[in-house]
Amino acid sequence: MPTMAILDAQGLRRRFGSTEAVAGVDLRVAAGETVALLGPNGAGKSTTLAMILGLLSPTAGQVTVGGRAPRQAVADGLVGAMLQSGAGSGLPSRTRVGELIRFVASLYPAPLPVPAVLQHAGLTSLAGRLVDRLSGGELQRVRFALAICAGPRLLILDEPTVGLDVPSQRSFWETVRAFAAEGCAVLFATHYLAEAAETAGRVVVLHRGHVVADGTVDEIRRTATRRVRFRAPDANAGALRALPAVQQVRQADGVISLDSTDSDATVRGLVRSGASFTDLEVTSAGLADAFLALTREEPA
Amino acid sequence: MKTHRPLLASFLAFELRRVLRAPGILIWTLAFPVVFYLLNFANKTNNAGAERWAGTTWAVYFMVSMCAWAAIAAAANAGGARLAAERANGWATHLRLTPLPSWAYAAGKVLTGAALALMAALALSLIAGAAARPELPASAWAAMILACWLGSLPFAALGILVGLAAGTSVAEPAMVGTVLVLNVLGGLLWPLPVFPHWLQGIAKVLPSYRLVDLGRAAVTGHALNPADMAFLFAWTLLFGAIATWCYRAGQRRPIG
Repeated sequence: MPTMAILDAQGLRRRFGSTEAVAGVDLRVAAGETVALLGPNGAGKSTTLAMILGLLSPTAGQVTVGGRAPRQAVADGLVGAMLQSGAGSGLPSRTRVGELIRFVASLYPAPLPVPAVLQHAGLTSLAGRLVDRLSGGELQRVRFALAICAGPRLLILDEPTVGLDVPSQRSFWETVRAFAAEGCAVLFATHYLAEAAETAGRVVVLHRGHVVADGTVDEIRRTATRRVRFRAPDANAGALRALPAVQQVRQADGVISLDSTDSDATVRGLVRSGASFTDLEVTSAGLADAFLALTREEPA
Repeated sequence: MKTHRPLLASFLAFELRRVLRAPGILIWTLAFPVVFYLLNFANKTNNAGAERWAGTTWAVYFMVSMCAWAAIAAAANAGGARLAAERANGWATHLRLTPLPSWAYAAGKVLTGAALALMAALALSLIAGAAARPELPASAWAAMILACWLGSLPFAALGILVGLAAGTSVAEPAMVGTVLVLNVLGGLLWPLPVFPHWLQGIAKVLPSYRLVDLGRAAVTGHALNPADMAFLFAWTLLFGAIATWCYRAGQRRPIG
């Protein structure tokens, strides 16, 4: 029997006018698991998370958190979240840190004790400080505190380290890992490969609203290939395997399909080999595009 | 059975504490009506204060107008630019990720506006009372403040509407402009009879006129006009309905 899923999304779709931001996403997260939702800007990460939280209703498909509808899971305190706050702090002005956390905790049916929340978020010494006087890294920790004060079983973080300096990013992820170690599942969106690799055991790559890969970062790197297909009834499988950059050869009814990490080199090698072929086509698995976009956006 | 959590009370207490931490809001909304009242009546050699007007003295009549002005501005400013800023910076969205229902959010904001209106009305009548000493029995005085307070509800709803509909850069001038127009047309600066006839017809529909009319009935001892209350109630419903519609429309937009 599989471990119980804290999150189960099936066939999620969301359309805005004529564009489909999320085009059929299946996503399961097991209790206690940490999963990165990796994808370039505009891949549909935020929209997917918004549907999981019940902020947006899906055009099609369904999602449950802890077996409940998203709004019910929010009301029951099963899920906590830190969403992107754009240019602002995401926090109300003229409140003290401790007062703000006490207020938000008071809304939940079974909140974590406020001192524990302060300690998890590293805010104990700042409890009496006005939110208006906090640095960027401190504001982020307050937002994290608000996300965990329900005592959630699923924590959702949407690009949580955007705009933070490197030391703040590191200490933030340490905090997240420490909290996850206590058994809370974490699903976070990022467009940094490195962040995904460091913190998540599993990475789900989203591209143009589709899941294009799901596995460990190494597994995904290995499968980021293109497919070269052509018709060649009398081809020699051994010779094809020797072509540059070829990972795998498939042969069915005279149609050859090569998985290649460098389709240009493979095609040049094929032509140079003198073998006869027809109907050549090179298709990109969505993953290759997604990774190109991701690697271009790596932080400096 | 789940334990009952007073979500609205929690939110209201939280909001009131924030508001009280920023006395600037109250001072700013009081500035105009206080200065205007004092310009009219602080001068002791000017006996305009004792002049009879509409069943009372001009000093009392004008105090009701400025009290209404203060209550209206305070109630509206509880929403307005402050609400627009909270939506823009993501706090309003975070609250939707808590068990606080949206009706409690709206009710909390309206009640915060009403609380500010009460403080503004009290402050203005204290200042007016100290400066011009208008003659008025305590019970009538209390009834007038109560009228300003209850009548401020549609303006609290209007503030929320503007905060939801306008962006951060527009919300402040939109709110100030709307309040100014409503207050002037509602007869708070100049009494209605100075307006042309057609404008008086429009003015009598406005919530500002209905609020100040309720206050005037309270100080002259006339019977309260049920139409005033009906109009104020209808305006609250109308602004509330449009605000709800704006809120829903905002939720259909793409995210991030």
